[in-house]
Order: sequence, then C-alpha cells, then structure tokens
Amino acid sequence: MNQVKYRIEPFQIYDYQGVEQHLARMAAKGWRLEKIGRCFWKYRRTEPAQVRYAVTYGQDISQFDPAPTEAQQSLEELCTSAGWKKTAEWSQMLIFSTEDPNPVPLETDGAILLDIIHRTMKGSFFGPALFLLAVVLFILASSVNTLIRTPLRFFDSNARLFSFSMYLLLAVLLLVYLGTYFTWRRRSLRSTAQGGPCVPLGRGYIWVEKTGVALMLILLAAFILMELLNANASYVTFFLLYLLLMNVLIFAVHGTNNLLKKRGASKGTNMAVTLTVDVVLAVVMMAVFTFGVFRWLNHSSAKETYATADGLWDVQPREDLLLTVSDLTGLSYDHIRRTAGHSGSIFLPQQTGWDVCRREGDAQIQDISYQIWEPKTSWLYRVLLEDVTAQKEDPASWGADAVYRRYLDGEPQNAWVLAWPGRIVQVYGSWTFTSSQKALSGKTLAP
Amino acid sequence: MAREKFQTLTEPMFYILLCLKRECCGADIAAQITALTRGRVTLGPGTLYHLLESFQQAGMIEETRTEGRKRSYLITPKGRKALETEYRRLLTLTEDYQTCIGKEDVP
Repeated sequence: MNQVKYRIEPFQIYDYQGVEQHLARMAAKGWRLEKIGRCFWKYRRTEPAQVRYAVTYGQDISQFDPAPTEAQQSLEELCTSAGWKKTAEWSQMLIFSTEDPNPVPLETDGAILLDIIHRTMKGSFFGPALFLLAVVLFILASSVNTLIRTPLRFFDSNARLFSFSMYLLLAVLLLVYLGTYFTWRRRSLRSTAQGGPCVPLGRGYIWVEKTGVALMLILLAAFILMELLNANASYVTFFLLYLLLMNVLIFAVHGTNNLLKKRGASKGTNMAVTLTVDVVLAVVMMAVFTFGVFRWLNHSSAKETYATADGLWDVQPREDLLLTVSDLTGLSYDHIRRTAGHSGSIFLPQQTGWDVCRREGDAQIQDISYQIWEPKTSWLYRVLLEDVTAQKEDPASWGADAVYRRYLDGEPQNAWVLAWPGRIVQVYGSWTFTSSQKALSGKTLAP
Repeated sequence: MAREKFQTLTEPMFYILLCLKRECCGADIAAQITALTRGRVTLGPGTLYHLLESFQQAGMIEETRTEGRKRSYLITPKGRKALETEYRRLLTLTEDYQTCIGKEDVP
C-alpha cells in the first residue's frame, strides 16, 4: 500500500477556502499534506482524522530567499503560539494545520485578508498574467490578420492551425483566470464591507481549467496524429524535442534557483544568476536546436546523387510521382531528379510532385510539377479558385470541370489550374502541352 | 491596508494600539485583547500580523525588540494620536446617542 501520494492540484493562489476544505477532506480520508513542490502536492498516509487547515499569506515571501525572512518567521511564530502548526507553503501562501476542534482562526477579519490577497496578487501574479495575455493577444491578432488577408496561408499547415488553437485556448484561460479573480474580489468586497468573510470561490473555475488542459492535450494529440498521417514523422520528432527542451530549460532554471537557495545565496544574487542562466540557456538551446534541425533535415533528406555540369541527379529516382515527364513524352531519360510530398493542413491538404529530366547528349532539361489541393470546405475551395489569376480555357481537352491558364505580363505560361468538385490542381510544364498530354495529365490528376 | 482606513479604527485596530501603550510582543497582544474584552474580540494571528505590519508602515507603532522569532512593539506618538482621535470619536457617538435617545432609554 502506497504511503505517499502525489497530486496536481488545480487551485488558484487566492482560493484559500478551497485549499482549506480540500486538505481537511484529504486528512479525513487518511492523507495529510506534507509538502508542495513545483508541480505536485505530496501527501502522506496517516490515520483518518479531523484536521483543520488554515491559510494566510506572507507578501514578502520570495522563491529567491535562501531562508524564511524575519517577517515570515515572525508571522509563523504568531501562528504557532496560537496553536497552529506550519504544514507547507505554496508561493506566498502559508498553510497551517491543527487537530484542535476549536482553534483561534488564523484570519479573523475578512477585509484585511482580502486586502492582503489582493496585494499578493498584484505583487506576483497580475504582472506575468497580463504580460502573457498581451503577447498571446498580439499573436492571435496577427493570425487573424493572416486569416483575413491571406486565408490560404493561414490554412497551409497543421502547425499554424494548432498554434492558433493553442493560443486561443490560452487567451480564454487567462481571461477566465483574471475574470474569475476580479468577480470574486468584487463579491468579497461587498461581503467584507458588511463585516462578513470573503465569499467562497466555487468550483467552476477548476472545471474550466481542467477542460482547458484536456482540450490542449486533445489538440496536441490530434496535431501529432495528423502530422504522422501526413508522413511528417521528422516534424513531429522536432516538435516533441522542442517540448522536451522547454522542460529541460524549466528544470535547469528551477534547479539553479534551488541550488543557490541551498547554498545561502542572497535574494539579489539568486535572482540575477537564475535570470542569467534562464536567458543564456534559452538562447543556447534554441541555437543548438535550430542548428540541429537544419543539419538533420539536410541529412535525412539527402539522397544518393551524382553530379553533371548542369546539376545533381538522383541515383535511384523515386517512383511515387503521380505524373512524370516520361509519362507525358513517352521517352526514357538518362538523368532524373524528383521530389514529392504531402503537406497542407487538415482543412487544405496538399500533395506535390516535381520531376526534372534530361537525355544524355541533349542540353535541354524538361520538367513538370504539380500541386493538388483538396479543400475540405466550399469556402476554401472558392478562395483557392479566386486566388488564381488566370484566364479560362476549354476544359474538355483536360477532362476537368474547369481549366484556367496562368498568364504573366500578358504572356500565357505553361501553367494550368484544373478544377473538379473537391479538388484543384496546378500543373506546370517546361513546354506547351499537346492535346494528348493535356488529356493524360487531366486523367492522371483527376480525383 | 490603505492608510485612509486608519482614520477610523476597527475594534481590533483600537485594541492593538491600546495594548501597545506598553511594550508588547504579538502573542501577548492577542492574549491581552482576549482578556481585556473577556473574549468578545478575538484576533487571529494572521490578522494580527498583517495589522502590525500595516501600523508599522504607517508609523503608528515601532518595533522595539527582537528575541528570536518574537518581535516586540510600542505605540508611537502618531499611533497615540490616532487612538485619541478614535476615543474622541466614540465619545462623540455616545454623546450623540444620549442626546437623541435620552439617558432614561439607555439599557
């Protein structure tokens, strides 16, 4: 039977009543709070007992202090002399407990407690929360601008959709966090003005938080799954590596802080060194990560090639292109270079292929490329077609529902956009296609 | 605690200042208040601590001694003045009550 239990508790720092009641319930079940860490609350198994918990706040408590300040010691001494035993501390919150059925309450004036809580929130929580909210809103505004001005760019990758959803969720959670606090404070101000206590916070915000975290995890899983289905395993690996590095950074910063605390470094020294370590590590890790990603991408995408005077050619050209130069010309080529891939997003999946060929002794290089989009909404289908700056052509020779030829400075290009219900294709060739080549292209690239 | 709040004192504030006419540590203040008011006013240690901090910041009391974790305080002239002002205010309230209701109606 486990003697120790670790839990992630979703309480807000100002929800002192929630914390007190929760800890009393845990003690009644035989689990007493022992310590509060960075992430987990540690409970130890004991005999079930009626334990009373009470919370107060030490405004001057800092995670950078090597030991409790004189003021904190004085507060703890007062609480101890009133029969309370210090159980744990969590940020600026000090948690005491007693088995006395009728103890002197730690806080007997709701207005003073509310004032202390507000000053604690102002001192340590509003600044970071508002800064984060401002950054998140700026990013969201930029994304919305992209969505309005260039919707195709907005939908061109799952990563962009994923990050937009995450930021949106984060903004909602931050607004709920701040909104809940100010609503609670306003109601508590009314209550304490009439001599009453602060009002209970309720459990609503905990459900919002839990739902938010669950949605984030679902989004993360969906993003990873979509990228894996797109055969972008390396992209997923980079992303997971990035998350891992962020955790290493957080761990290293907390580790530095704790080490300096243990060694008795002053608050100022601890803050300066921890901040320096934070910034330097972040820069170094991002640089190493970026460099590593480029190296890896180059390495993983490297294929066996050989060189001629006009470029590199594949030793073993891939065979998975939907359409090749050879398909259209009926000729075989001595030098071939091919790329292909899947990209886009869940709403706008994209498939691409590019084939470059040359016959031995022939100086002319021939190439074709294609891009296939399958918009999942009629709106995106329309936007994609509206984005095409081309003139309509007779679709019959292509076997498509509609065909547009691209023009540049009034000159027709060897680039066509073919449209079928649910699919839009752009084909480019280094020569003007014949009727039979158009028909073959249309037939091959049709849905 | 906003300073303007000290322009009128709550019961706990009044009794804390009253107890500090003689040097006293926090725990003794709480005990003295309970004894003085025969248990009518109870001051929690958290509330007492925060009030002492606020009084000290406002210059109404001063720290006189520190023995280990125990700190002792004494009222300052500014604190005495605030106490005196509150006393006068309470007297005025009492007089006004008597004027309006009359001594015979006082229970």
